Amino acid sequence: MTPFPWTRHEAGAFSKARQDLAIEIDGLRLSYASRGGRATAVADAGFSVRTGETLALVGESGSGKSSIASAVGGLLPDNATVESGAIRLFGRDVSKLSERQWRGLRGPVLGYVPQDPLGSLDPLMRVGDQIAESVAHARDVDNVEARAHALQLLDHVGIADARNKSRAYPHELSGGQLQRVLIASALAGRPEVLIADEPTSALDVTVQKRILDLLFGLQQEFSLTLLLITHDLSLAGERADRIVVLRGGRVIETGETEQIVGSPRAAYTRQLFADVPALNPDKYARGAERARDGGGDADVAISVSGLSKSFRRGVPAVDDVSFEVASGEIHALVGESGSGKTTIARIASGLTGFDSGSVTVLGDERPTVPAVVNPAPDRLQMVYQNPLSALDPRFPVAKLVGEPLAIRGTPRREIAQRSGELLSAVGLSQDFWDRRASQLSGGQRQRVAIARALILSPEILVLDEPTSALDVTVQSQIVELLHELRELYRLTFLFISHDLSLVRQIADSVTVLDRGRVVESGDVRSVFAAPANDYTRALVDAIPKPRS
Amino acid sequence: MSDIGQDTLVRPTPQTQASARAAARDRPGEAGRSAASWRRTARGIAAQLSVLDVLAAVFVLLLVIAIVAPRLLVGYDPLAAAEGHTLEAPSLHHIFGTDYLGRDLYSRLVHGTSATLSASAVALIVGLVGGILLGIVSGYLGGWVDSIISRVIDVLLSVPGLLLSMVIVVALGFGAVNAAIAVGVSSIASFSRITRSEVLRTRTSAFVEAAQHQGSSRVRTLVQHILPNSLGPVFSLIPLHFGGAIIWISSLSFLGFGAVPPKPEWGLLVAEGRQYLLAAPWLLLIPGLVIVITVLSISRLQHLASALRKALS
Repeated sequence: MTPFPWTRHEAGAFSKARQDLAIEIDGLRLSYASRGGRATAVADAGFSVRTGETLALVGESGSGKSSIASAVGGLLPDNATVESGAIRLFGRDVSKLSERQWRGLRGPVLGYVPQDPLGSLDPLMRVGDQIAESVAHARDVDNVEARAHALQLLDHVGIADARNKSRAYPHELSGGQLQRVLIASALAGRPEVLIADEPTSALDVTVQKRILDLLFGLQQEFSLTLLLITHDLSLAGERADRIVVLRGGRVIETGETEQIVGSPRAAYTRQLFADVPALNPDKYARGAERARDGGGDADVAISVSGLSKSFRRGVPAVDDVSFEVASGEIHALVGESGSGKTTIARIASGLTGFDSGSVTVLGDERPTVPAVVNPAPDRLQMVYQNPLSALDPRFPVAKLVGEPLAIRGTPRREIAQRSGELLSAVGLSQDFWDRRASQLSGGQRQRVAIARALILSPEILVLDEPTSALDVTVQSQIVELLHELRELYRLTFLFISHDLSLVRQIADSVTVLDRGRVVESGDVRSVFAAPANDYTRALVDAIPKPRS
Repeated sequence: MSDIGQDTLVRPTPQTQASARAAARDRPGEAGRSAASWRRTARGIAAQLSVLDVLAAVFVLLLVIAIVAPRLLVGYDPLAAAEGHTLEAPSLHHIFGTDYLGRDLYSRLVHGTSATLSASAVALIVGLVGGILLGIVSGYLGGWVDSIISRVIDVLLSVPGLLLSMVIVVALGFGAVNAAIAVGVSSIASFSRITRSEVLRTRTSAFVEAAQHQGSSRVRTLVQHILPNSLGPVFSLIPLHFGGAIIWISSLSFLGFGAVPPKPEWGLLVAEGRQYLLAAPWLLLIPGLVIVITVLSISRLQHLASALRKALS
């Protein structure tokens, strides 16, 4: 790694009068204009970030954390208004700056790492040129020099073969590489403050760890002040100096990380931390034991052997995979994106065909080319990752849940009764039964999808990342629900997830996949306690471990 | 299933879905809409109406009356010739003047409304039904069926529509109904293209796969899930094509391929007036203006209807 190409740029009044507080937010009130009037996103939020520290802003979706980050970066959309309060950067109020005034701050004072790496880069411009553009803007140099600096920056953020990669277009790079490019671009002006808005939420766990290591290494190197926005409390607990907990646009609690994680004062914070799987690995341990003891008979529910499938010739998506799922257990398939876990789930569900091997579900062998219409929907059902796309947008909830019965010609009265029962079982009261999927929250949608999957009383549920789009609190409610339903209906789960902490918390056995191959399989506790394989160890190590 | 057609007219398009989501977020927990909020919505829509909207609505209302009960609007027989009163300029007796046989032009216009508009409606229905059927078959079945249908549609699209209509009329024989069918067949192509692309999009969506995963048969999935979610954009094309059909039908009549004299028909009136362009320009100009205003009014109302749909969803 080459040394950083230049020293801190003359940042005007800011670095001369270097202050203790980098960011101060005082009584901030922020609202968005919408069709139905103004919606308040931030109500009376106040906190400050000390120079050189890492402050994590945590909260569920809708808590206003991204709005605050955008306000500090001067990136609020046009329909947003700062109604009252002040945002001070090194003592200077920036809440009413014009776009032109902001331009002078971005770069030398402020850097911003956005959430969605691919969406934040121009798809038709080489990444090197995009960084050179920020360099040219921030340092007022000509194109040739900017390009040279861009190369050094790329090298500095750990892009191997920077010269070639700088000529790549964004779609040719992986998610981790794109995030590195964005970090390089944010560092181009050699800022004092870096705002990172969910910098790793779109990345695999091991990549996430590497990107965070890079980010915090750079922070040390340049003594950056870091404002980290995240929904991942375990991550905040591991990396931040101080944490601000937000809810509904208000600050619930502020404090040193040790104090917030170790002895949270607010009830909401306690609840939030209790719902994080990484912090509570044994939450469901007893329930799982009991369910297994009750299961007794070790019938095989799903048996997969020698399964192979490739979508493109010569590139196997699934390569000679074998595992067994005992009746009544929760079996997890884990791996990073591209590991083939969703493909295996779809093959087991009879939605995708396969090339060779055999898949047996409850004694019936799956054909290599699946039928268009599922011949046995009452034995196995799959729950999709994104419930909004898996629910017909025109159907009301009650009709969605009752549809599998309607298909089989069940009398109307009976359908209404059964779907009512199941909707109650998944915790949706009658008020919701007439709504469409678009009028429900993410958690409610997933409850509808689960109710629909269960109405034919299948023995197996295949769950494809059922909680990955949900907040921790909602995730914990759904996981709780799945546990209850499992005991109620004696279900077997094939659970697909990239979230190892969640798998450690709920699964009985696990199969670890890497690029379509099984690298390890066995009881979840022994795999996590003593991973026999380097890849599994890397995955397990990537689970954030908060200091406390 | 009978409700699909009507239901789909007010189907939530992506934009209205988004606004419905926004609306649902703004009023959490509100299941129904109170009378007060209905009134508020109605008043909000009324406040946004412009003079042109009102004029368009009044004009379309007049057209409807002209179709249903033309005698409410006129006192003259559209076919009665009056010797000695030929080619009279507009006056209090004949507000649009008289033609070369002394027939009242206003009366002929009003009585011609139903001929022109019903022919346009027939054309639209032929195009819509044919287009939707072809689009569904090629979009849902795919493969070689799709290839064959798509190539036929390509051929239809490559010939100018009016020319194609004329060829079809010549093949079927002259007459108002045949002209309508010809215009309809010519518009099959665009309806079918839209339907096909929508069916293709819906067919691959997760909820269709989920329905079949629950055991829904192909036909049931098509009728229950794919069609209702595909037809919205197709139906939004209707007003556009209706305006186009009016012009095409009139054009065919003007060229002598459609309605047969002495039947009053708008395009025919323009054709007849053309011969007296210098002596009696109103014979040409007034029917032409009526056609233009009709098409513009319908398109104006279409905008109004889509705004209304957005406000109510």
